Amino acid sequence: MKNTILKLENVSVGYGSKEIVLAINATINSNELVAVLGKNGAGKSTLINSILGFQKTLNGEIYLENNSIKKLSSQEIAQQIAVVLPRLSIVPKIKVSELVAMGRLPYHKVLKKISEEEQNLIDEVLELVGITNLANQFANEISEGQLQLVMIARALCQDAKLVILDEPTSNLDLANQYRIFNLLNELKSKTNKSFLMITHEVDFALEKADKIWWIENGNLFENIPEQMAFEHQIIQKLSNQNLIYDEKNNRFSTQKSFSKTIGVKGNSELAFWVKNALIRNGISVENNAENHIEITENNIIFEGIKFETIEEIVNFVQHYEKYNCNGSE
Amino acid sequence: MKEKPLFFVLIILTLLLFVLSLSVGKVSISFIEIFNVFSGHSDEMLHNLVLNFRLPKSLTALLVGISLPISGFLMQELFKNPLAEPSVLGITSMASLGVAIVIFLFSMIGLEEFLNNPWITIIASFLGAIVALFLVISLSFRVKSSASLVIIGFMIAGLAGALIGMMQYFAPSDKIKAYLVWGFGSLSGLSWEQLSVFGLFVLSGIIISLFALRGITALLLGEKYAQSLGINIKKLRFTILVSTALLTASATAFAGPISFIGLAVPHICRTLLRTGDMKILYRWIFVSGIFFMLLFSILTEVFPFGTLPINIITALFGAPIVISILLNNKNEVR
Repeated sequence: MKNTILKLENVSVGYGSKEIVLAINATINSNELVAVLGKNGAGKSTLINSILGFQKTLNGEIYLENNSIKKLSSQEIAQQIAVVLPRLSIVPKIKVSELVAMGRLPYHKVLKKISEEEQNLIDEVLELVGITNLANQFANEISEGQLQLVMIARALCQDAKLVILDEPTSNLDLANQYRIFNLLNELKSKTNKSFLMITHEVDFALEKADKIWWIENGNLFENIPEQMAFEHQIIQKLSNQNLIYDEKNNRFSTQKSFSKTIGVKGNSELAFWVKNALIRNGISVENNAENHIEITENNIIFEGIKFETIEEIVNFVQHYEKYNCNGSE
Repeated sequence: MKEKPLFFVLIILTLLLFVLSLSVGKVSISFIEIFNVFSGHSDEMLHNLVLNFRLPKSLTALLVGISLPISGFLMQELFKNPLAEPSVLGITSMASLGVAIVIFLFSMIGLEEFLNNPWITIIASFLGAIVALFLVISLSFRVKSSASLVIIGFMIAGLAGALIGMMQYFAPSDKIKAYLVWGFGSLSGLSWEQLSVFGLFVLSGIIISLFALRGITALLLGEKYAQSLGINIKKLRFTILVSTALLTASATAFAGPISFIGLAVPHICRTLLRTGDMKILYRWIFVSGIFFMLLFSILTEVFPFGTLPINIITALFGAPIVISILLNNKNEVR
């Protein structure tokens, strides 16, 4: 049976008298991965700050395993919730092993030596995260991707039931983003912890999360990813005049300024990237369109003209469209 | 290199320096004679010289060497600013203002005879530092970031400086000299009574500072991470402010505004050790501070043209030491 780790009851958060998120209800159960989605400024971080007790809630109660957070000291909260932030403001010039060991601070009243038991936990966590080899390196001398893994290891050493991750991959390259997402997935199955993650990686959230918290206009919608995706709630809500979801191609594009569509013929790698570039620039690509771009291994041909670069063909198609539409823009 | 044996070497060197500081001076005293003084086998003149002049001076150096580096260390860690030191919060400036008021105003209103009592400048400087402390602590509850607190400290220092300047402008020149001489700092001239009061303040400041070690360890990761590790930032700030105020106010009151040492010793230790273990860093700064102050105290005596003020020595020898350590270690300041 799943226990409730965190429960929000009619919680309103904000700054001063300005309420950002109003009277919301939500829960996190044990061993759950919850993704928090929403536009910039929707109040995701403000909500997280309130859960952590950094900021007072304007209304309502937050319960950590049936205890109201208001009655817990900051040290007690730290024993139950660990955090990973987008990045370190200052990277300390200390050993990775020392940094990871800081996860034990909530359990000490004064600065004490790490016990043998705690050292075993630290070693276990380093292995689980796959960074045992970094232990003796200095934190300021490893890459940002590695550093974020170290911060996750530190959070795990805190031995809290809930780990909150605030955009943990926002400063990382693609390979490191995947490494961290895979790691979280693995941690969820290997540890008994729950994870609450703020992210803008919609694909990851829809695929891996057990639950989505969607924050919009002061409301929090809680649902399983499939339901969210099925109703296209997220996709529709992320769309506005500048960002459009192209259902045919299953991706977002920045603009959709052309009425006509264009076809791309060819199966080469070049054809794939031309198609990608056209879509990214707001041009619909459909196979049964009137006009076609012929693409072979190395050639791009359209209307009998041969193009040297992808940039040239995209440029041409944009102008070609405009002339055909009699300058209607 | 192992840290523990090195630390042991540092302690031995510091003990040697302490004995050396008793021996060096206008009259040099051999180690055997010093031993005789403490075992009660020396003549009265030597006994008097060592116990009432040399030993108090060395103990003053020791207390200053503990208090200023430790408070500089706590402030650098709290404010995440490598330039932070006791003068940053306006404590030194307000202490100077206290002394300036006593020296200039007392002479203007005919209370000059009080200036012969050494406690007067000590109390004036201590009161100045305490006023600065109250200002900073009460303001610290109203500002969110530690950076704003540093700016407030600078502003307090600026205000105090302006008031001192105003008094200097109207004061007679002999009084200006008396004030300037105080500003050079001095390790000598404290009575045993004064030393014990000084020691008591330093002891209480040090005890309080030990409660900040867990907090400043977490602060290595920034304020937000520290909070997530269960550190109450406002409480930590209060602890550090009280501790540094006791240490800085007493050091400035009893030895004058001694520069450089509070800024440099933490840097030297941090650069050489590169550790996240604040307990190790703390004990190194504690002993290195004593080591450097004893060394500088000895250096004030070795110049052929008479004893130099301590403040000149600390900067003259200290600044090149820090620069060379920074350049050789290639570890920039944290």
